[in-house]
Amino acid sequence: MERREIAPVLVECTLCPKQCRIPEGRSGDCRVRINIDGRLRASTYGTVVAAHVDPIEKKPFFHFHPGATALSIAAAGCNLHCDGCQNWEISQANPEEAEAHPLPPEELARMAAREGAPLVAFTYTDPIVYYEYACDSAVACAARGIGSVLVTAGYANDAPIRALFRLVKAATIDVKAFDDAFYRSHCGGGLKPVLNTLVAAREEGIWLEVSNLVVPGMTDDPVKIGELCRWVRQNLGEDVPLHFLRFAPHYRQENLPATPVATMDRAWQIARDAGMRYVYVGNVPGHASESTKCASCGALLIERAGYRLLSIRLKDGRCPSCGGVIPGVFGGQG
Amino acid sequence: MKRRDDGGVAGAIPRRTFLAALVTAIAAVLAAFALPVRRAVLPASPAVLTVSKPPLRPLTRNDLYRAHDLAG
Repeated sequence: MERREIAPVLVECTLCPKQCRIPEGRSGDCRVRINIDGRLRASTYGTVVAAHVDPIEKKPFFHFHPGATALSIAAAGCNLHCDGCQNWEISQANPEEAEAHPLPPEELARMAAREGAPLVAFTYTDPIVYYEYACDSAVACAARGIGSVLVTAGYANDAPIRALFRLVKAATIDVKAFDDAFYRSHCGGGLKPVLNTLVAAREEGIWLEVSNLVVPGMTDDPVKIGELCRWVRQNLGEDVPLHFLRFAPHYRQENLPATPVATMDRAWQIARDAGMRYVYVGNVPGHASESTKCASCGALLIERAGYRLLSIRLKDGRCPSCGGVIPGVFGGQG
Repeated sequence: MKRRDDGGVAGAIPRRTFLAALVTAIAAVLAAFALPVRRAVLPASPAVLTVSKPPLRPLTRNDLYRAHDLAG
């Protein structure tokens, strides 16, 4: 006898803490993951809305293969909806409408090799929502000797993010603010899962850097910045590079001014006072902290101008002046 | 205050209508909880969505260098 399923089936996406229960034909909060015929599908799999060969410093990674290039890609959509998103045109786009280009994992790996990029970066939007594509691409790239890195907000469930960490070499995780209320009101997420992801990255043994966008009047509270720094030091260690990124008006926060450089300097000082050894200020070209100095003796080790690498003075991963070990992955570059 | 024939106040929602709407709403909430939920095992089956999506244009070198102003 022919049967017809009358009751609709909800599919629960277990990728991120939102755990969307998605009715037939609808997508989750990210707009990417869709219930088709009762099965969860990743609608952007194998397509990109952005692809660019960037310096690895732009991600930012300052202690991971300095000066290397990374073929950086993104698929449309995001599971967070940050008011000040710098890439909102693609992160908040409906994947159905975004101009996307097919780039299957194997083709991505071939393209990276063709462009002479030793790394592929899953970035711009959040790789969490193009999870399967990122996983498959990391495997395809590894087969060609190309490493993969993640740039993510870390709002993910533990099991899937750990599985992804096992396929990549490094991650920069962006903490929006050390404030759950801020996550809920301005990002559509929460702080705790992000902190769990940071710890998971550390436990999985990949190289980790942490970034934090300092938005004036929103995430520039010195108390909260201090709490973030102390948490990072206590849970991830004092050697994790910490990047404070200067905000520029975007998306729903176009009414806000760019972050004053003095505010960035204050954040840098708070982190140093909290015991963080490698602290950087980003999006302020020419800032004194964009170069890496030995945390022990202060010797200039990696000189940068913006995202441009000017010189590296490391010797076998050590400071040539005092011999101190510099945390990072420097390959054959020092 | 003007009374209707059924004793209710003119302009107000009749009691019977209100009760019917309330019962319907409660039934809808209960039904939503009763729906079968399938938890997706990760990783989900990758598939390119084709519904209502325009044909995709292959990536060109121009596209490759168009994203220079993106953050990250």
